[in-house]
Amino acid sequence: MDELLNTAPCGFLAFADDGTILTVNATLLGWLGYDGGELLGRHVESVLPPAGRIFYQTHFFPLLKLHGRAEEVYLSLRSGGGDDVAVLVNAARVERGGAAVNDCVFVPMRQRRRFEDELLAAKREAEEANRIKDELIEELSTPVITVVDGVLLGPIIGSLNRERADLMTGALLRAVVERRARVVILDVTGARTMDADIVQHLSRAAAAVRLMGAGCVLTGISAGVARTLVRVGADLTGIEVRRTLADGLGFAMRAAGAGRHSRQR
Amino acid sequence: MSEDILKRNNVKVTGRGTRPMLFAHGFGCDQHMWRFVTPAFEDDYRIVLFDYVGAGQSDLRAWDAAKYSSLGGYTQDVLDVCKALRLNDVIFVGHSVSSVVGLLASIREPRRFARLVLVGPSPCYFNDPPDYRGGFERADIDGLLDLMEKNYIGWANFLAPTVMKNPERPELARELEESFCSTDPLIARRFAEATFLSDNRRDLPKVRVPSLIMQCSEDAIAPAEVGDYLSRHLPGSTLRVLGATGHCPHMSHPEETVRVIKEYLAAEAVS
Repeated sequence: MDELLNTAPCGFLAFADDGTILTVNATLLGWLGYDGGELLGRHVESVLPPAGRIFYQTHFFPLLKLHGRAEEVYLSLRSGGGDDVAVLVNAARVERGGAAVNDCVFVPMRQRRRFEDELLAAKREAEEANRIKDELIEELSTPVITVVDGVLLGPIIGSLNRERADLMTGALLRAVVERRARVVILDVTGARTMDADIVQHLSRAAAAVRLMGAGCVLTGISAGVARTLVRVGADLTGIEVRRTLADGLGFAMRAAGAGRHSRQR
Repeated sequence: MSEDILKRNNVKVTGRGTRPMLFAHGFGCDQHMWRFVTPAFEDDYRIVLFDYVGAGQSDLRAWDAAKYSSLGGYTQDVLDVCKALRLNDVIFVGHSVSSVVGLLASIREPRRFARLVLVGPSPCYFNDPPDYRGGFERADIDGLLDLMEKNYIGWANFLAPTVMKNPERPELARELEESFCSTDPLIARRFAEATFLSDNRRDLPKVRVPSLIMQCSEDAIAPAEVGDYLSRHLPGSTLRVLGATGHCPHMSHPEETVRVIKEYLAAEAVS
Protein backbone atom coordinates (compact mmCIF):
# COMPACT_ATOMS: atom_id res chain seq x y z
CA MET A 1 0.00 0.00 0.00
CA ASP A 2 0.99 3.59 -0.62
CA GLU A 3 3.11 4.71 2.37
CA LEU A 4 1.36 8.08 2.63
CA LEU A 5 -1.98 6.37 3.02
CA ASN A 6 -0.61 3.72 5.29
CA THR A 7 0.47 6.20 7.96
CA ALA A 8 -1.97 9.02 7.24
CA PRO A 9 -3.74 10.58 10.27
CA CYS A 10 -6.92 8.70 9.48
CA GLY A 11 -7.96 5.07 9.33
CA PHE A 12 -8.35 3.41 5.93
CA LEU A 13 -10.08 0.16 5.14
CA ALA A 14 -11.28 -1.33 1.87
CA PHE A 15 -13.72 -4.23 1.66
CA ALA A 16 -15.38 -6.22 -1.08
CA ASP A 17 -19.11 -6.49 -1.61
CA ASP A 18 -19.27 -9.75 0.28
CA GLY A 19 -17.68 -8.01 3.26
CA THR A 20 -14.14 -9.36 2.95
CA ILE A 21 -11.52 -6.91 4.19
CA LEU A 22 -9.01 -6.30 1.39
CA THR A 23 -6.84 -3.49 2.75
CA VAL A 24 -6.23 -1.92 6.14
CA ASN A 25 -3.79 0.87 6.90
CA ALA A 26 -1.36 0.94 9.79
CA THR A 27 -3.15 3.79 11.53
CA LEU A 28 -6.38 1.83 11.80
CA LEU A 29 -4.58 -1.32 12.88
CA GLY A 30 -2.98 0.74 15.63
CA TRP A 31 -6.31 2.08 16.89
CA LEU A 32 -7.85 -1.36 16.91
CA GLY A 33 -4.87 -3.14 18.39
CA TYR A 34 -4.25 -5.54 15.55
CA ASP A 35 -0.99 -6.53 13.85
CA GLY A 36 0.01 -6.51 10.19
CA GLY A 37 -2.22 -8.87 8.24
CA GLU A 38 -4.53 -9.93 11.08
CA LEU A 39 -7.64 -8.37 9.56
CA LEU A 40 -7.07 -9.16 5.91
CA GLY A 41 -9.51 -11.72 4.56
CA ARG A 42 -11.80 -11.43 7.58
CA HIS A 43 -15.32 -10.08 7.37
CA VAL A 44 -15.73 -6.36 8.03
CA GLU A 45 -18.32 -7.30 10.67
CA SER A 46 -15.50 -8.65 12.81
CA VAL A 47 -14.50 -5.06 13.61
CA LEU A 48 -18.08 -4.06 14.42
CA PRO A 49 -19.96 -4.58 17.70
CA PRO A 50 -23.42 -6.23 17.40
CA ALA A 51 -25.32 -2.95 17.00
CA GLY A 52 -22.90 -1.87 14.31
CA ARG A 53 -23.34 -5.15 12.47
CA ILE A 54 -27.04 -4.55 12.19
CA PHE A 55 -26.47 -0.97 11.10
CA TYR A 56 -23.92 -2.09 8.51
CA GLN A 57 -26.42 -4.50 6.98
CA THR A 58 -29.50 -2.28 7.20
CA HIS A 59 -28.04 1.13 6.36
CA PHE A 60 -24.35 1.42 5.62
CA PHE A 61 -23.89 -1.21 2.95
CA PRO A 62 -27.20 -0.44 1.15
CA LEU A 63 -26.27 3.26 1.08
CA LEU A 64 -22.94 2.42 -0.46
CA LYS A 65 -24.31 -0.01 -2.95
CA LEU A 66 -27.10 2.27 -4.14
CA HIS A 67 -25.65 5.74 -3.82
CA GLY A 68 -22.06 4.79 -4.45
CA ARG A 69 -21.04 6.69 -1.35
CA ALA A 70 -21.86 7.24 2.31
CA GLU A 71 -20.81 10.35 4.17
CA GLU A 72 -20.56 11.38 7.79
CA VAL A 73 -21.73 8.00 9.03
CA TYR A 74 -21.23 7.48 12.72
CA LEU A 75 -20.06 4.05 13.76
CA SER A 76 -18.32 2.28 16.58
CA LEU A 77 -15.45 -0.02 15.71
CA ARG A 78 -14.57 -2.88 18.00
CA SER A 79 -10.92 -3.20 18.89
CA GLY A 80 -9.08 -6.45 19.42
CA GLY A 81 -9.30 -5.85 23.15
CA GLY A 82 -13.08 -5.49 23.05
CA ASP A 83 -13.27 -1.71 23.47
CA ASP A 84 -15.29 0.48 21.17
CA VAL A 85 -13.77 3.29 19.15
CA ALA A 86 -16.25 5.94 18.01
CA VAL A 87 -15.55 7.05 14.42
CA LEU A 88 -16.97 9.10 11.60
CA VAL A 89 -16.83 7.33 8.24
CA ASN A 90 -16.71 8.50 4.66
CA ALA A 91 -16.97 5.71 2.14
CA ALA A 92 -16.98 5.44 -1.63
CA ARG A 93 -17.54 2.59 -4.01
CA VAL A 94 -14.89 2.25 -6.69
CA GLU A 95 -13.85 -0.28 -9.26
CA ARG A 96 -10.47 -1.85 -8.80
CA GLY A 97 -9.10 -4.85 -10.58
CA GLY A 98 -12.40 -5.45 -12.35
CA ALA A 99 -14.47 -5.72 -9.17
CA ALA A 100 -16.36 -3.33 -6.92
CA VAL A 101 -14.45 -2.26 -3.82
CA ASN A 102 -15.69 -0.12 -0.96
CA ASP A 103 -13.11 2.36 0.34
CA CYS A 104 -13.62 3.75 3.84
CA VAL A 105 -11.87 6.54 5.69
CA PHE A 106 -12.25 6.81 9.46
CA VAL A 107 -11.80 9.78 11.76
CA PRO A 108 -12.03 9.30 15.54
CA MET A 109 -14.93 11.00 17.31
CA ARG A 110 -14.10 10.65 20.98
CA GLN A 111 -14.51 14.26 22.04
CA ARG A 112 -17.39 15.01 19.74
CA ARG A 113 -19.21 11.93 20.92
CA ARG A 114 -19.07 13.09 24.52
CA PHE A 115 -20.40 16.48 23.51
CA GLU A 116 -23.12 14.94 21.35
CA ASP A 117 -24.18 12.68 24.18
CA GLU A 118 -24.66 15.72 26.37
CA LEU A 119 -26.52 17.57 23.63
CA LEU A 120 -28.87 14.67 23.08
CA ALA A 121 -29.53 14.36 26.81
CA ALA A 122 -30.26 18.08 27.06
CA LYS A 123 -32.56 17.86 24.04
CA ARG A 124 -34.51 15.03 25.63
CA GLU A 125 -34.87 16.95 28.86
CA ALA A 126 -36.08 20.03 27.02
CA GLU A 127 -38.61 17.96 25.07
CA GLU A 128 -39.97 16.51 28.28
CA ALA A 129 -40.19 19.93 29.91
CA ASN A 130 -42.03 21.26 26.87
CA ARG A 131 -44.44 18.40 26.96
CA ILE A 132 -45.27 19.06 30.60
CA LYS A 133 -45.65 22.76 29.90
CA ASP A 134 -48.01 22.11 26.98
CA GLU A 135 -50.13 19.82 29.11
CA LEU A 136 -50.35 22.45 31.81
CA ILE A 137 -51.31 25.17 29.37
CA GLU A 138 -54.04 22.99 27.97
CA GLU A 139 -55.42 22.42 31.44
CA LEU A 140 -55.31 26.08 32.34
CA SER A 141 -56.50 27.52 29.07
CA THR A 142 -60.09 26.40 29.01
CA PRO A 143 -61.81 27.27 32.26
CA VAL A 144 -65.56 27.77 32.02
CA ILE A 145 -67.00 29.34 35.13
CA THR A 146 -70.61 29.17 36.26
CA VAL A 147 -71.45 32.66 37.51
CA VAL A 148 -75.02 31.86 38.52
CA ASP A 149 -77.29 29.08 37.45
CA GLY A 150 -77.56 29.29 33.64
CA VAL A 151 -74.84 31.89 33.10
CA LEU A 152 -71.36 30.80 32.03
CA LEU A 153 -68.20 32.88 31.81
CA GLY A 154 -65.37 31.95 29.47
CA PRO A 155 -62.42 34.27 30.12
CA ILE A 156 -59.93 34.54 27.27
CA ILE A 157 -56.49 35.07 28.72
CA GLY A 158 -53.25 35.44 26.78
CA SER A 159 -53.03 34.69 23.09
CA LEU A 160 -55.36 32.54 21.12
CA ASN A 161 -54.21 30.22 18.36
CA ARG A 162 -56.36 27.83 16.41
CA GLU A 163 -55.58 24.89 18.65
CA ARG A 164 -56.52 26.80 21.79
CA ALA A 165 -59.59 28.27 20.15
CA ASP A 166 -60.74 24.77 19.22
CA LEU A 167 -60.18 23.56 22.77
CA MET A 168 -62.03 26.56 24.17
CA THR A 169 -64.99 26.17 21.85
CA GLY A 170 -65.21 22.50 22.73
CA ALA A 171 -65.10 23.19 26.45
CA LEU A 172 -67.72 25.94 26.14
CA LEU A 173 -70.16 23.81 24.16
CA ARG A 174 -69.77 20.90 26.56
CA ALA A 175 -70.44 23.24 29.45
CA VAL A 176 -73.50 24.72 27.72
CA VAL A 177 -74.98 21.24 27.51
CA GLU A 178 -73.87 19.90 30.89
CA ARG A 179 -74.79 22.98 32.90
CA ARG A 180 -77.85 23.94 30.86
CA ALA A 181 -76.56 27.42 30.18
CA ARG A 182 -78.82 30.13 28.83
CA VAL A 183 -76.14 32.77 28.34
CA VAL A 184 -72.40 32.54 27.73
CA ILE A 185 -70.12 35.50 28.36
CA LEU A 186 -66.88 35.60 26.38
CA ASP A 187 -64.62 38.06 28.13
CA VAL A 188 -61.60 39.31 26.26
CA THR A 189 -60.28 41.77 28.85
CA GLY A 190 -57.26 39.55 29.41
CA ALA A 191 -56.60 38.76 25.77
CA ARG A 192 -53.09 39.80 24.83
CA THR A 193 -53.63 40.37 21.15
CA MET A 194 -56.68 40.67 18.98
CA ASP A 195 -56.04 40.21 15.32
CA ALA A 196 -58.26 39.15 12.48
CA ASP A 197 -57.59 35.45 13.08
CA ILE A 198 -58.55 35.61 16.72
CA VAL A 199 -61.67 37.59 15.94
CA GLN A 200 -62.61 34.81 13.51
CA HIS A 201 -62.05 32.16 16.17
CA LEU A 202 -64.19 34.11 18.59
CA SER A 203 -67.06 34.71 16.20
CA ARG A 204 -67.06 30.99 15.33
CA ALA A 205 -67.16 30.06 19.00
CA ALA A 206 -69.99 32.50 19.56
CA ALA A 207 -71.91 31.17 16.58
CA ALA A 208 -71.55 27.62 17.88
CA VAL A 209 -72.84 28.69 21.30
CA ARG A 210 -75.85 30.34 19.70
CA LEU A 211 -76.57 27.22 17.66
CA MET A 212 -76.78 25.39 20.97
CA GLY A 213 -79.62 27.72 21.90
CA ALA A 214 -77.71 29.92 24.34
CA GLY A 215 -77.20 33.65 24.10
CA CYS A 216 -73.72 35.03 23.69
CA VAL A 217 -72.23 38.20 25.16
CA LEU A 218 -68.82 39.60 24.25
CA THR A 219 -67.26 41.80 26.92
CA GLY A 220 -64.00 43.56 27.76
CA ILE A 221 -63.58 45.20 24.39
CA SER A 222 -61.03 47.98 24.40
CA ALA A 223 -60.89 50.84 21.92
CA GLY A 224 -58.11 49.18 20.00
CA VAL A 225 -60.02 45.93 19.78
CA ALA A 226 -63.13 47.77 18.66
CA ARG A 227 -61.15 49.33 15.81
CA THR A 228 -59.83 45.92 14.79
CA LEU A 229 -63.28 44.42 14.82
CA VAL A 230 -64.59 47.14 12.55
CA ARG A 231 -61.56 47.00 10.26
CA VAL A 232 -61.83 43.27 9.61
CA GLY A 233 -65.57 43.49 9.23
CA ALA A 234 -66.19 41.02 12.02
CA ASP A 235 -69.61 39.43 11.88
CA LEU A 236 -71.09 39.78 15.32
CA THR A 237 -74.76 39.38 14.43
CA GLY A 238 -76.77 37.87 17.22
CA ILE A 239 -73.97 38.54 19.68
CA GLU A 240 -74.46 41.09 22.41
CA VAL A 241 -71.51 43.32 23.03
CA ARG A 242 -70.83 45.10 26.31
CA ARG A 243 -67.82 47.20 27.12
CA THR A 244 -67.07 45.84 30.58
CA LEU A 245 -67.45 42.48 32.19
CA ALA A 246 -69.70 44.04 34.83
CA ASP A 247 -72.11 45.31 32.17
CA GLY A 248 -72.00 41.95 30.46
CA LEU A 249 -72.76 40.09 33.68
CA GLY A 250 -75.69 42.38 34.39
CA PHE A 251 -77.15 41.78 30.95
CA ALA A 252 -76.57 38.03 31.14
CA MET A 253 -78.22 37.61 34.49
CA ARG A 254 -81.25 39.57 33.40
CA ALA A 255 -81.51 37.52 30.20
CA ALA A 256 -81.13 34.24 32.09
CA GLY A 257 -83.65 35.33 34.71
CA ALA A 258 -86.17 36.34 32.05
CA GLY A 259 -85.70 32.94 30.48
CA ARG A 260 -86.40 31.25 33.78
CA HIS A 261 -89.54 33.31 34.19
CA SER A 262 -90.76 32.42 30.71
CA ARG A 263 -90.17 28.73 31.39
CA GLN A 264 -92.07 28.91 34.66
CA ARG A 265 -95.04 30.53 32.93
CA MET B 1 -59.37 6.05 -1.71
CA SER B 2 -57.20 3.52 -3.54
CA GLU B 3 -55.40 6.37 -5.28
CA ASP B 4 -54.60 7.77 -1.86
CA ILE B 5 -53.01 4.47 -0.86
CA LEU B 6 -50.92 4.35 -4.02
CA LYS B 7 -49.62 7.79 -3.25
CA ARG B 8 -49.34 7.23 0.48
CA ASN B 9 -47.13 4.20 0.02
CA ASN B 10 -45.31 5.42 -3.09
CA VAL B 11 -46.50 2.36 -5.00
CA LYS B 12 -44.75 1.59 -8.30
CA VAL B 13 -46.07 -1.03 -10.71
CA THR B 14 -43.96 -2.39 -13.56
CA GLY B 15 -43.53 -5.61 -15.48
CA ARG B 16 -45.21 -7.20 -18.46
CA GLY B 17 -46.75 -10.21 -16.77
CA THR B 18 -50.10 -10.56 -15.05
CA ARG B 19 -49.24 -12.57 -11.93
CA PRO B 20 -48.49 -10.06 -9.17
CA MET B 21 -45.18 -10.14 -7.33
CA LEU B 22 -45.17 -7.80 -4.35
CA PHE B 23 -41.78 -6.78 -2.93
CA ALA B 24 -41.64 -5.52 0.64
CA HIS B 25 -38.49 -3.84 1.93
CA GLY B 26 -37.23 -4.41 5.44
CA PHE B 27 -36.07 -2.14 8.19
CA GLY B 28 -33.57 0.53 7.20
CA CYS B 29 -34.13 1.43 3.62
CA ASP B 30 -36.85 1.47 0.99
CA GLN B 31 -38.06 -0.20 -2.22
CA HIS B 32 -34.80 0.63 -4.01
CA MET B 33 -33.24 -2.27 -2.16
CA TRP B 34 -34.90 -4.52 -4.76
CA ARG B 35 -33.39 -2.75 -7.73
CA PHE B 36 -30.97 -5.52 -8.63
CA VAL B 37 -33.57 -8.27 -8.40
CA THR B 38 -36.85 -7.06 -9.89
CA PRO B 39 -35.61 -6.65 -13.50
CA ALA B 40 -35.19 -10.43 -13.76
CA PHE B 41 -38.92 -10.90 -13.11
CA GLU B 42 -40.33 -8.13 -15.24
CA ASP B 43 -41.06 -10.26 -18.27
CA ASP B 44 -43.21 -12.77 -16.45
CA TYR B 45 -44.77 -10.92 -13.54
CA ARG B 46 -46.52 -7.73 -12.55
CA ILE B 47 -44.02 -6.18 -10.17
CA VAL B 48 -45.38 -4.12 -7.29
CA LEU B 49 -43.00 -2.05 -5.19
CA PHE B 50 -43.93 0.17 -2.28
CA ASP B 51 -42.56 2.01 0.74
CA TYR B 52 -44.02 1.56 4.20
CA VAL B 53 -45.35 4.81 5.63
CA GLY B 54 -42.37 6.56 7.14
CA ALA B 55 -39.87 5.08 4.70
CA GLY B 56 -38.61 6.23 1.32
CA GLN B 57 -40.92 8.60 -0.50
CA SER B 58 -44.05 7.59 1.36
CA ASP B 59 -46.35 10.30 2.65
CA LEU B 60 -44.98 11.19 6.07
CA ARG B 61 -48.21 12.89 7.04
CA ALA B 62 -49.87 9.50 7.21
CA TRP B 63 -47.39 8.34 9.82
CA ASP B 64 -48.82 7.58 13.21
CA ALA B 65 -46.67 6.66 16.19
CA ALA B 66 -49.10 4.15 17.67
CA LYS B 67 -49.86 2.42 14.38
CA TYR B 68 -46.29 2.01 13.22
CA SER B 69 -44.84 1.03 16.57
CA SER B 70 -45.99 -2.52 16.01
CA LEU B 71 -45.82 -4.85 13.04
CA GLY B 72 -49.61 -4.69 12.73
CA GLY B 73 -49.28 -1.24 11.17
CA TYR B 74 -46.89 -2.46 8.50
CA THR B 75 -49.09 -5.49 7.87
CA GLN B 76 -51.97 -3.12 7.28
CA ASP B 77 -49.90 -1.21 4.71
CA VAL B 78 -49.30 -4.43 2.77
CA LEU B 79 -52.98 -5.36 2.83
CA ASP B 80 -53.98 -1.81 1.87
CA VAL B 81 -51.70 -1.92 -1.17
CA CYS B 82 -53.07 -5.32 -2.20
CA LYS B 83 -56.60 -4.04 -1.86
CA ALA B 84 -55.94 -0.79 -3.70
CA LEU B 85 -54.51 -2.66 -6.68
CA ARG B 86 -57.01 -5.52 -6.36
CA LEU B 87 -54.21 -8.05 -6.21
CA ASN B 88 -54.88 -11.75 -5.91
CA ASP B 89 -52.74 -14.84 -6.11
CA VAL B 90 -49.86 -12.69 -4.92
CA ILE B 91 -46.27 -13.85 -4.66
CA PHE B 92 -45.06 -11.88 -1.68
CA VAL B 93 -41.31 -11.28 -1.40
CA GLY B 94 -40.30 -9.83 1.95
CA HIS B 95 -36.87 -9.00 3.31
CA SER B 96 -35.96 -9.33 6.97
CA VAL B 97 -38.79 -8.03 9.14
CA SER B 98 -41.03 -7.90 6.08
CA SER B 99 -40.89 -11.67 6.07
CA VAL B 100 -42.82 -11.63 9.31
CA VAL B 101 -45.09 -8.90 7.96
CA GLY B 102 -45.83 -11.20 5.02
CA LEU B 103 -46.60 -14.08 7.35
CA LEU B 104 -48.94 -11.88 9.37
CA ALA B 105 -50.63 -10.55 6.23
CA SER B 106 -51.16 -14.09 4.99
CA ILE B 107 -52.72 -15.06 8.32
CA ARG B 108 -55.19 -12.20 8.02
CA GLU B 109 -56.00 -12.71 4.32
CA PRO B 110 -54.83 -16.19 3.35
CA ARG B 111 -56.68 -16.28 0.08
CA ARG B 112 -54.86 -13.25 -1.29
CA PHE B 113 -51.40 -14.80 -1.25
CA ALA B 114 -50.17 -17.73 -3.32
CA ARG B 115 -46.59 -17.92 -2.08
CA LEU B 116 -44.37 -16.18 0.44
CA VAL B 117 -40.69 -15.68 -0.35
CA LEU B 118 -38.87 -14.82 2.87
CA VAL B 119 -35.41 -13.29 2.47
CA GLY B 120 -33.36 -13.45 5.66
CA PRO B 121 -36.38 -14.00 7.92
CA SER B 122 -36.47 -14.13 11.69
CA PRO B 123 -39.54 -14.49 13.91
CA CYS B 124 -37.71 -13.10 16.92
CA TYR B 125 -34.38 -11.30 17.06
CA PHE B 126 -33.52 -11.61 20.69
CA ASN B 127 -32.26 -14.58 22.62
CA ASP B 128 -34.74 -16.54 24.69
CA PRO B 129 -32.76 -19.03 26.73
CA PRO B 130 -32.49 -21.90 27.13
CA ASP B 131 -33.62 -23.00 23.69
CA TYR B 132 -34.02 -20.06 21.36
CA ARG B 133 -31.13 -18.02 20.00
CA GLY B 134 -32.37 -15.03 18.01
CA GLY B 135 -28.90 -13.53 18.04
CA PHE B 136 -29.29 -10.38 20.11
CA GLU B 137 -29.56 -9.16 23.65
CA ARG B 138 -31.57 -6.13 24.70
CA ALA B 139 -28.34 -4.18 25.13
CA ASP B 140 -27.48 -4.78 21.46
CA ILE B 141 -30.82 -3.35 20.34
CA ASP B 142 -30.32 -0.33 22.61
CA GLY B 143 -26.91 0.06 21.00
CA LEU B 144 -28.55 0.10 17.58
CA LEU B 145 -31.06 2.76 18.61
CA ASP B 146 -28.21 4.81 20.02
CA LEU B 147 -26.26 4.43 16.79
CA MET B 148 -29.25 5.53 14.73
CA GLU B 149 -29.70 8.59 16.89
CA LYS B 150 -26.15 9.69 16.17
CA ASN B 151 -26.57 9.40 12.42
CA TYR B 152 -28.39 12.14 10.60
CA ILE B 153 -29.37 10.24 7.50
CA GLY B 154 -32.72 11.18 6.02
CA TRP B 155 -34.08 12.82 9.13
CA ALA B 156 -37.56 14.24 8.55
CA ASN B 157 -36.93 17.05 11.01
CA PHE B 158 -33.84 17.94 12.92
CA LEU B 159 -35.17 19.20 16.17
CA ALA B 160 -38.92 18.74 16.32
CA PRO B 161 -41.54 16.71 14.46
CA THR B 162 -43.07 19.82 12.92
CA VAL B 163 -44.34 17.93 9.90
CA MET B 164 -46.52 15.71 12.00
CA LYS B 165 -47.84 18.52 14.15
CA ASN B 166 -48.94 20.64 11.20
CA PRO B 167 -50.70 18.43 8.70
CA GLU B 168 -52.44 21.46 7.23
CA ARG B 169 -49.12 22.95 6.19
CA PRO B 170 -47.78 20.64 3.47
CA GLU B 171 -44.98 23.03 2.61
CA LEU B 172 -43.26 21.71 5.73
CA ALA B 173 -42.94 18.23 4.25
CA ARG B 174 -39.51 18.57 2.74
CA GLU B 175 -38.11 16.33 0.05
CA LEU B 176 -35.47 14.26 1.76
CA GLU B 177 -32.16 14.10 0.00
CA GLU B 178 -31.28 10.73 1.41
CA SER B 179 -34.70 9.44 2.26
CA PHE B 180 -33.59 6.11 0.88
CA CYS B 181 -32.05 5.03 4.15
CA SER B 182 -33.40 6.86 7.12
CA THR B 183 -32.20 6.95 10.70
CA ASP B 184 -34.90 9.42 11.64
CA PRO B 185 -35.08 9.36 15.44
CA LEU B 186 -38.85 9.40 15.47
CA ILE B 187 -39.96 7.30 12.52
CA ALA B 188 -37.09 4.93 11.83
CA ARG B 189 -36.66 4.41 15.55
CA ARG B 190 -40.21 3.14 15.89
CA PHE B 191 -39.66 0.80 12.96
CA ALA B 192 -36.51 -0.45 14.66
CA GLU B 193 -38.37 -1.07 17.89
CA ALA B 194 -41.26 -2.76 16.11
CA THR B 195 -38.79 -4.96 14.27
CA PHE B 196 -36.33 -5.95 16.95
CA LEU B 197 -38.52 -6.08 20.01
CA SER B 198 -41.35 -8.20 18.65
CA ASP B 199 -41.68 -11.94 19.04
CA ASN B 200 -43.83 -13.64 16.45
CA ARG B 201 -42.90 -17.26 17.05
CA ARG B 202 -46.41 -18.09 18.18
CA ASP B 203 -47.86 -16.87 14.86
CA LEU B 204 -45.91 -19.39 12.80
CA PRO B 205 -48.31 -22.35 13.13
CA LYS B 206 -51.18 -20.18 11.89
CA VAL B 207 -49.65 -19.67 8.45
CA ARG B 208 -51.49 -21.47 5.66
CA VAL B 209 -49.61 -20.15 2.64
CA PRO B 210 -46.51 -22.07 1.43
CA SER B 211 -43.22 -20.25 1.85
CA LEU B 212 -39.58 -20.22 0.84
CA ILE B 213 -37.05 -19.49 3.58
CA MET B 214 -33.91 -17.98 2.04
CA GLN B 215 -31.22 -18.42 4.66
CA CYS B 216 -27.92 -16.63 4.11
CA SER B 217 -24.62 -18.02 5.24
CA GLU B 218 -23.07 -16.12 8.13
CA ASP B 219 -25.97 -13.76 8.61
CA ALA B 220 -25.48 -12.03 11.95
CA ILE B 221 -29.03 -10.68 11.95
CA ALA B 222 -30.86 -13.86 10.96
CA PRO B 223 -28.43 -16.64 11.85
CA ALA B 224 -28.61 -20.24 10.66
CA GLU B 225 -30.26 -21.46 13.86
CA VAL B 226 -33.17 -19.13 13.16
CA GLY B 227 -33.58 -20.51 9.64
CA ASP B 228 -33.63 -24.00 11.11
CA TYR B 229 -36.18 -22.98 13.71
CA LEU B 230 -38.40 -21.53 11.02
CA SER B 231 -38.20 -24.57 8.79
CA ARG B 232 -39.29 -26.70 11.73
CA HIS B 233 -42.14 -24.50 12.90
CA LEU B 234 -43.47 -22.84 9.74
CA PRO B 235 -45.93 -25.15 7.99
CA GLY B 236 -45.50 -25.51 4.24
CA SER B 237 -42.03 -23.97 4.25
CA THR B 238 -39.00 -24.88 2.17
CA LEU B 239 -35.53 -23.98 3.42
CA ARG B 240 -32.80 -22.98 0.99
CA VAL B 241 -29.37 -22.03 2.28
CA LEU B 242 -27.58 -19.54 0.06
CA GLY B 243 -23.91 -19.20 -0.57
CA ALA B 244 -24.45 -15.47 -0.10
CA THR B 245 -23.17 -14.10 3.18
CA GLY B 246 -24.56 -11.25 5.20
CA HIS B 247 -28.14 -10.15 5.55
CA CYS B 248 -29.01 -8.52 2.21
CA PRO B 249 -28.42 -11.08 -0.53
CA HIS B 250 -30.72 -9.14 -2.86
CA MET B 251 -28.13 -6.34 -2.67
CA SER B 252 -24.88 -8.18 -2.26
CA HIS B 253 -25.59 -11.32 -4.30
CA PRO B 254 -28.52 -10.51 -6.58
CA GLU B 255 -27.81 -13.22 -9.19
CA GLU B 256 -27.99 -16.03 -6.68
CA THR B 257 -31.05 -14.46 -5.10
CA VAL B 258 -32.86 -14.31 -8.43
CA ARG B 259 -31.86 -17.87 -9.32
CA VAL B 260 -33.10 -19.35 -6.05
CA ILE B 261 -36.43 -17.54 -6.24
CA LYS B 262 -36.94 -18.57 -9.86
CA GLU B 263 -36.16 -22.20 -9.05
CA TYR B 264 -38.68 -22.16 -6.22
CA LEU B 265 -41.42 -20.57 -8.31
CA ALA B 266 -40.79 -22.99 -11.17
CA ALA B 267 -41.10 -25.96 -8.82
CA GLU B 268 -44.31 -24.49 -7.47
CA ALA B 269 -45.69 -24.14 -10.98
CA VAL B 270 -45.11 -27.82 -11.59
CA SER B 271 -46.78 -28.94 -8.36
